[in-house]
Amino acid sequence: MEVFTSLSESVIFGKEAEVKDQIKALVDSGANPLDIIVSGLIAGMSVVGSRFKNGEMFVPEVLMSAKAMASGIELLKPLIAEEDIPTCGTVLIGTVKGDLHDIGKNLVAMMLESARFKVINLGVNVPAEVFAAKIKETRADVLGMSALLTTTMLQMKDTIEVLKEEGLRDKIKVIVGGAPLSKEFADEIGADGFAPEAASASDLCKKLLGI
Amino acid sequence: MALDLLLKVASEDEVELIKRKAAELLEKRGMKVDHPKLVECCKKAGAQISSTTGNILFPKKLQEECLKAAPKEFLLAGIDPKYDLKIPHPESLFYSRPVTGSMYTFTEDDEYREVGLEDLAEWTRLTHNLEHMDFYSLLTLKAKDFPAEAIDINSMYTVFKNTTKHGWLQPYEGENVKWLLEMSAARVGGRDELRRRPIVSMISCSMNPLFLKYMDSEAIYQSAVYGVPIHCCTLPTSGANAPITQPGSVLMMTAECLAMIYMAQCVEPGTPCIACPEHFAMDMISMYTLQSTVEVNWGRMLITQVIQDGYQIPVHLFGGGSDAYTVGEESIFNQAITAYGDVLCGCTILGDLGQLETGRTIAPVQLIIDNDVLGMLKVMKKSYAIDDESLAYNEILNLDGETESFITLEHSFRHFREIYRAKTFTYTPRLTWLENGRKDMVGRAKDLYRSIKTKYKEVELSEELVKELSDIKKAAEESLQRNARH
Repeated sequence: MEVFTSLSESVIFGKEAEVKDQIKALVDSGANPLDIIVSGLIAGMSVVGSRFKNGEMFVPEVLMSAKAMASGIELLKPLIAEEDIPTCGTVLIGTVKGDLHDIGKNLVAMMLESARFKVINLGVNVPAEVFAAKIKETRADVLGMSALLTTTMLQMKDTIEVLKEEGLRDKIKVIVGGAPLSKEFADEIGADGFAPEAASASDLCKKLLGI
Repeated sequence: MALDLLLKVASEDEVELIKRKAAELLEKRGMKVDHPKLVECCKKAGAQISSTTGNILFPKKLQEECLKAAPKEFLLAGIDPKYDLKIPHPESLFYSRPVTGSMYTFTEDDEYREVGLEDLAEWTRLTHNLEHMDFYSLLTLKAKDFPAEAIDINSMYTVFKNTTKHGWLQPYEGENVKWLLEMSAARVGGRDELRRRPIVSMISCSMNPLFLKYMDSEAIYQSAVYGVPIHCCTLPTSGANAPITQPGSVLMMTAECLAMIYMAQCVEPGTPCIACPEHFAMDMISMYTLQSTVEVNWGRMLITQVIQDGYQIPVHLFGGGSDAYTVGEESIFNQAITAYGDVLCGCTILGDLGQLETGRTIAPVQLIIDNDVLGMLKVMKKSYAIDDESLAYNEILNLDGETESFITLEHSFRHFREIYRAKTFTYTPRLTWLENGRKDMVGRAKDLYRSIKTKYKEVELSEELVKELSDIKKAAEESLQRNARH
């Protein structure tokens, strides 16, 4: 439908105000909220995703698109059950115990949200036990751990051990990232995946979840 | 006479604008500091604590007092006095050091792997034997045969066995700050002697924007107490945790460096401080952090001008290095062009040489090439006097060009040693190059590296000193492990 195409374009160009206006108009005209999300917002964000992957869009543009889409979904939330809003899954993310660096982790969170993942950001200095408790509470699909220091990256291994002890390891995919890490380290500690930079995390999560 | 060649990228008014804004940032936003003792020292000296953020706020009067207290001239002492580094450089040149904190090595055999103690020992020996590397740095080792908490301590012990140059310390654990300083005091003959002849200087690194975590606060606090110079470092990534515009990143770096310098003065007025703005940029597609972009090169020149011209504080840039993964055209180009910009804009220390992969990897062969480039830069920076002697007016006037040549003149003999002859560049005819195996610059640097290795000499440490250092190391390891368990 042409109305949805126009909404998609507003998402692609990150025009938040226009997205809001168009959604209000669509709702007033009786359009189905779920159709608005799938055929308008998500369709636009899919274009953004593939353009970004092809190097045709830059990170700030992707984030503006994601912001526009999120504003649109906020408007539609009262009209639709939360569980009906399509997502790629839930990702629990945090910087490990002893490490206060959060810029890379926050970038990953933003990129995951842009790729339609629900992200629960636990912040920095997160002990293994807190990761485990939150996995139980949220039933997340993926755990993402971040570390910037060689001394703190060892906490990732400890956390995976705690997940095993608590019987949670088989219930969640674990990905790791951060400047001092390598794929070899990720394999060594028993993680399911390693994202060398923030932009690749969403593809990695989708691959691990079979999306 | 263009002695002390200096490039400027900003007008005086623009420098003043940045200074004014930095002062306002420190007065209004201040810095968050995770260290009660350091905060208390600042309060006693006249700083205020924000009732809303808890940040340390620096009133303008305190800023002026701290700037006045920060010494403009001081010493980074070598263990051996012949390696003493006077700040500022007496000939308006610069000092250099190899990369710090790297986790991997790219060896002369093109092997890529994590670094261990023996790699650090070798890196230190190479640093010691290169004439343009003025002090050593520590690496981030993979802990083998010792607990992970004790990486810093074992690193320190290793470098003392391999060099008598000055060193800068980059601890990774808060408790290690004091242990490293104790080991340094033992090496130089006690705490009073360390204060008189600081054979080490300490890095303290802020998180951006304007936050100092415990370990780095402890580095400032203890260094000021011990009287050891501090490299006040900030590591922003433009577009990520710093403004994407270079002037914006420079403003934030200026404020962060100044805040750390002020804190050191609040603990102990007169503590020597060096501003150390390390600067990166995030690629807007891959989101990868880069060091060698042209924008960052320009930003480094701007901050040097702001800090050195604006406050007369020495600047230590992480100017060397490359984002490339192997030693070759890209890494050599990156390093050379970055170093040229940094040095010609007047930085006091040029750091992070001999590295690849944005500092993650050491590369001895790259360090050897960088060493050569630094020699050229010193010539460029020093310039030549332009006078009767260098103009050679009389020689040109009187030389009989048919029977005489300049090469035979006394004048040539007097000056030929002034010509810098690099070791890894081409100076021979093509035939000689072919006969020598058609080696490129990297190949020649590898040969040079093998030759340097044959000249290594062990550093002699007395039995008493070895025992003293070993005892401190043992006590440190026990304490660190005990505290890690708790």
